[in-house]
Amino acid sequence: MSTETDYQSQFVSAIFNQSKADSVGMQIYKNNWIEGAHNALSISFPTVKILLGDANFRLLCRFACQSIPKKSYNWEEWSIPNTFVTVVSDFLRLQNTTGLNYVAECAKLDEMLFINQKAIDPIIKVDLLNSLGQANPDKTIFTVSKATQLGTFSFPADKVYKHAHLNEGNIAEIQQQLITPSSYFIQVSRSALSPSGVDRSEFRASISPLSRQEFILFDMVNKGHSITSLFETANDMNMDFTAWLGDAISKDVIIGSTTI
Amino acid sequence: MVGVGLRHEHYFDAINNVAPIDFVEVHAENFLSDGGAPRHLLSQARQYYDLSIHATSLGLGSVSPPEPEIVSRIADLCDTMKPFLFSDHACFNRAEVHGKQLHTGDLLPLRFNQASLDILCRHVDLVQNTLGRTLLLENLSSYIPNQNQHFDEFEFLAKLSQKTGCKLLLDLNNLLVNEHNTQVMNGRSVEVTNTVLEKIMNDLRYLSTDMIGEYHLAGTTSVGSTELMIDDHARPVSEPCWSLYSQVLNEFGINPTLIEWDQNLPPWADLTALAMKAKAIQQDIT
Repeated sequence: MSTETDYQSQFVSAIFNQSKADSVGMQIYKNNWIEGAHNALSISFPTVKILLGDANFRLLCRFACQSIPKKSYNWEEWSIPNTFVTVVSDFLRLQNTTGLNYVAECAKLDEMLFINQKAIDPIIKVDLLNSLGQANPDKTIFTVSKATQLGTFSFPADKVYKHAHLNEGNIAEIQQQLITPSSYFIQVSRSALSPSGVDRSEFRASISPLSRQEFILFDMVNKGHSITSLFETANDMNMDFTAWLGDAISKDVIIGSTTI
Repeated sequence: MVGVGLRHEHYFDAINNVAPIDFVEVHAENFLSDGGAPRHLLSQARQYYDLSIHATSLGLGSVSPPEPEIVSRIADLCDTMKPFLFSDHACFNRAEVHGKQLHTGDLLPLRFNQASLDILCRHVDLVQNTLGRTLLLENLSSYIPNQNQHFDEFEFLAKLSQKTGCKLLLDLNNLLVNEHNTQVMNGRSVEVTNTVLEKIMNDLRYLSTDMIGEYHLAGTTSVGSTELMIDDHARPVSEPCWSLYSQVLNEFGINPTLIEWDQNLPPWADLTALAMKAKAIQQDIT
């Protein structure tokens, strides 16, 4: 008689196998496997679902299950940066689609939003910011909220995102939004939670287009450059450093500072 | 005590229209991230209701031990939210295939034999020790014929409870689904009759009152008498399930009872009304 290892391995293998000679019961388990992926990916990649339509999105889920089988309990493993985005690109290439490259780009934005929504809530470290006046700017770096991310797109993804969700399925309209500059910078951020009341909007990430200069400064902050270095770079780019910093703090993007 | 499954469509209703139920049950996996809206909303709901946390992904019957990360995250969730019940399923969900660990994200049926029992007991002990609390394990719905069984299902689960001290979450709808599916897989057409309910009660003969910690009630989309029934939690609690509930209460006593509804959700008021029906049945028994 087989061991439990054999039994479980054969059962799981049968679910992942593409054989069509299954019992009705095994077909139910196979269907559950795809539906589980469909449910999870519908939450994390809603714009991709809108752009492809449900039937094509289901095909994409099936393709994802086969090409990057789930290894852990966590459906979010497919939201590791570039994992699902690569799958979307491969899927589109295999489907011989043309002109749908923006779907993979929108997958990148969905991924940023999903990671952002799950990130730890930003809490402003008031004492640290208050002490900035006494800090040595050569040896002080800013702390960025984990609920903030930067991305570079080849079109204004924020507009496409809004348009896709407002006009579900109207791909022709969405394509009109794609005539754009080749480098478009975006910041996805979620503000701190208000301690009182329940307001759904407080948890919703905002997608903000950034100027190239703003993107450079945030990128430097992420890379741990000192305040002096940021200030000098802002000056070189003719940017108002104080205004930029005040805006970043007010939006809970920069939430503290650390002496190095 | 009676409660309902709290799904995200009802988060705001649960807080803004507080129902006269005792508790809500949430799926652990929706609250394991570091931050964001879900935990905040759960904290709000927690002010009005007791909480039961129901996990779906520990897969404690899998040959490999549960992933330390999920056990740790669940421990953190339980420490923060202080549920009065914590449960998962008597199932496996992953296996090594050609040298790679594959996770199905599903609840797969165990074989009811000694080796399987030993694995499950070991992993239940591990989780109970880590969480510092008694675990409830739910009986599963299944879509394949039982294979190489040494024990009846509830003989197996009773031994599990005796060896580990865990309690059982008795899902009455799963009992009905399994009875239907067993008959279909044996080539017989099915109708739920008193005979079926008597057979289910006989199946439960291995259990004692102290082994049971909770009941789940649900409904499923109806199918033809020769088709397999899928436990989709998409309908109101069925009449046979209510009848079985009364019989089980008479036999094993009152325990916290949950109305499970996961798809095609009804309005919050309709859902909680079902919990109140369960409470009325409990009161009739006492």
